[in-house]
Amino acid sequence: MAAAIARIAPPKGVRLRRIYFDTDHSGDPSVYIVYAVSKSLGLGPARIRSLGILQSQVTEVVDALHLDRLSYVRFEDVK
Amino acid sequence: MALSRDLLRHARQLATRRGRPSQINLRRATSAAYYALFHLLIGEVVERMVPTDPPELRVRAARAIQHGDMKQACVDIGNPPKKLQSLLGAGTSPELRAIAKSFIDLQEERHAADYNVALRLSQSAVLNSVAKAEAAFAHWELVRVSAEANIFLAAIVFGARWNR
Repeated sequence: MAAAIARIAPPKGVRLRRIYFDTDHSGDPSVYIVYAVSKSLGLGPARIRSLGILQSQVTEVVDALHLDRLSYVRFEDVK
Repeated sequence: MALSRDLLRHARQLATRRGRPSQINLRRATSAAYYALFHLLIGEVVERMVPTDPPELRVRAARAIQHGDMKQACVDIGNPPKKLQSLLGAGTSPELRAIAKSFIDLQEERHAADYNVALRLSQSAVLNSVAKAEAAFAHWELVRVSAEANIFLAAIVFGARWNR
């Protein structure tokens, strides 16, 4: 799974930070994919749209693997 | 204006305050984004399934809808179990699946924002959450008058008992 996610090219200033398995708040098995986002490129509408597109791409890849887990994409700002 | 729209606008305002938004504003923006979508769907459920007389009936019905049931309906839309497949027929639209996925994401984010005191939210994450809620509203306008929307809303209320 990690290799499949790593093949997705994130937008400029965004990099894959970590992937981990856990349960979500209601106890459902989940996988969390965390990206670091550089704030130096700003957080305008186009940039936020690019994060949404990345999130959709990652979700699509994870869903296709039929892991029987919910997928959650997280974004963390870095300077 | 409907509560759901007010919450959505409130979320956007909190997430885009000038300068560096405070953590509390980012937390409240995340929560408001989730509740905007939650109340949008509640409003649709009661409008379609609950009579207007007596007026208090819709209020009571709305209060009975649970977060977990709505999440499960969204999970089922994303990966329909047999009980839904026979109703959905050819499947679901990308728009409805996007709404369902956004709801699941926003609920998880809202839970962390409201209860994880150690959490430090990033503005990019919160702006993405608000954008997701806004997109879900737009997608809902495209699918709300459809059989799949009716099935989705019914699943929120009855889905847990459809195995019977």
